[in-house]
Amino acid sequence: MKRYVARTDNLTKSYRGGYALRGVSIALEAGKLYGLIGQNGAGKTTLMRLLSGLAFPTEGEIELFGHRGERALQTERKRMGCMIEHPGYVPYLSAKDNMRYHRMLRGVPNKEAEDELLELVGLADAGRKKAKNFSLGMKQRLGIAIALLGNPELLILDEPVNGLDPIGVVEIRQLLKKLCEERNMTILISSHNLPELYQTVTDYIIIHKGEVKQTLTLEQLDQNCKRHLLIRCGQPEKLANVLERELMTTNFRVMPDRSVKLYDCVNETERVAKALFDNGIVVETISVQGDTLENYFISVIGGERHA
Amino acid sequence: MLNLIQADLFKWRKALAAKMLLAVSAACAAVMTLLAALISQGRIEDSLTGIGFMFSDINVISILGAVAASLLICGDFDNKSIQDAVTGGIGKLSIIAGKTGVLLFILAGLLLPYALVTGIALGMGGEFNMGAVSIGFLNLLTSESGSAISAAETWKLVAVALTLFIVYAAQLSICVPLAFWLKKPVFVIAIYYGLSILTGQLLAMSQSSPAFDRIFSFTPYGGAHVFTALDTETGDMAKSIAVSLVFIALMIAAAYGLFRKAEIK
Repeated sequence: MKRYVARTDNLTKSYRGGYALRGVSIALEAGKLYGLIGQNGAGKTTLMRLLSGLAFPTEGEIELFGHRGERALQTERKRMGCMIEHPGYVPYLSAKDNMRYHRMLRGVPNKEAEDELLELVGLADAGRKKAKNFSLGMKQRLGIAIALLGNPELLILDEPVNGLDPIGVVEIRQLLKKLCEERNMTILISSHNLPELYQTVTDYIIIHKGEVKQTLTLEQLDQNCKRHLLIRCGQPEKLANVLERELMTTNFRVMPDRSVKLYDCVNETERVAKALFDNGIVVETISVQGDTLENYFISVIGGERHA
Repeated sequence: MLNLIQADLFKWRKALAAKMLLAVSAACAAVMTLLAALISQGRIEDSLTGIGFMFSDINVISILGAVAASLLICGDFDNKSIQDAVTGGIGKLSIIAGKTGVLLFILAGLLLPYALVTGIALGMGGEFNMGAVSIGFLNLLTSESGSAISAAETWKLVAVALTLFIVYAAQLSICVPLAFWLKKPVFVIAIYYGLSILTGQLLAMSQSSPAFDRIFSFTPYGGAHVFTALDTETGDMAKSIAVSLVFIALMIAAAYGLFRKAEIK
């Protein structure tokens, strides 16, 4: 049986008649790095706020580490680390003092964690500089370090690479992957930077207008985005047989809508069409398909007009 | 909750605002005592008692205490420390109780200059007068001036100072629900200062209405709570402390009622 770190069941949040989230049901497994993709106002931050206890659902339920109910969720949240919307820090304190303050606040006894985490996010040399004088990237790193206090099992980060320079982005990406792999930490991150997400996460949750449109793994996304010939006809079984026999390939998939995605011969449309015609298959559509993550995201949420 | 208090005291210790508030409190305590001494000696006119009142503990703490409560609570909404506590699984009642506890520590610190100045001035046996505007430590200073303090009375002086501190803390505890509700320092400070003026008027009004006086005395703003001095009976001091502690508990409950289901931005 799969062990879920967090689950939501028909989670709905409405504000004055409008829905910020509608019927969201997701399940986060231990040790996976989830990317929450959506436009501004899609409901990403609302979902994160509900999971972290900063807001309350209008309908539906949240389960954390197998527990439900307000009191139990409060207790289980001690196993979470969050950075939602903007990094929280005390402006007149140094990075080290901020770490100490938040460590005391959460009752984390391990004093060494302060220096270890600052080292981990690349702020070991921040010295006595006050947090208010940090660059946006440094503030972001400090927010991540604070979220990591207490060695959380579930880490929720809203736009964690916002404001980071390219090297910072790579460092944070590597850090998140490392936390996921070495500490079996579950991480939920949101980002507008889709190419960056593509290089970081293992699973995607695509959210649009408060509804989860699709959840898929990196492998599924790769498969969906891979360049291919999309063939539609009335006889997919016969088509499969012709592909194997005439074109000597098994690198294709018959989709639930009975279309066929052929991943070989992508640049040989005419040859494929001729082989099918010669075998008496009436082709309705044959076209080269394949998306970038951006295009795929746009297609999932409903077309160009949303981009 | 102890974690929260420890963390907030650590943060407060490092804040420039904390040092500035303490400096203002110390300066005002010194000016208040000096003016009371000069008025008593006839070196300045009695009509200047109004200015003297501006530097008195009741007036200064109304402002500084509200500023401290605002910085402590509203400031923590701004820098997301409260959000961090909530997402870290700390209960909202613990957060409120912790903040109230820290506010009490801060108020004790802000009142310390007044307590020390009053104690030293009375110990030196000087004469002090601030006319009819004497409340709190200023009342203690003027009502006991000129009489030597015995060793036994020193302990009573400490008890009086402690009672006045609890009464002030109770008065200011209304800033806790205000801050959790409004989250904007300027509103909290303005409303509390307005409230302190209003309760001052109500206190004057209660002298002409025994029924209202009796009701009002169940709040830390009414009765003779802020007039506690060396001649106050122990039972009256105990009543002041009890009224104040109940009022603080009610303010914590009110803040919890406002914050329990509140969404935090």
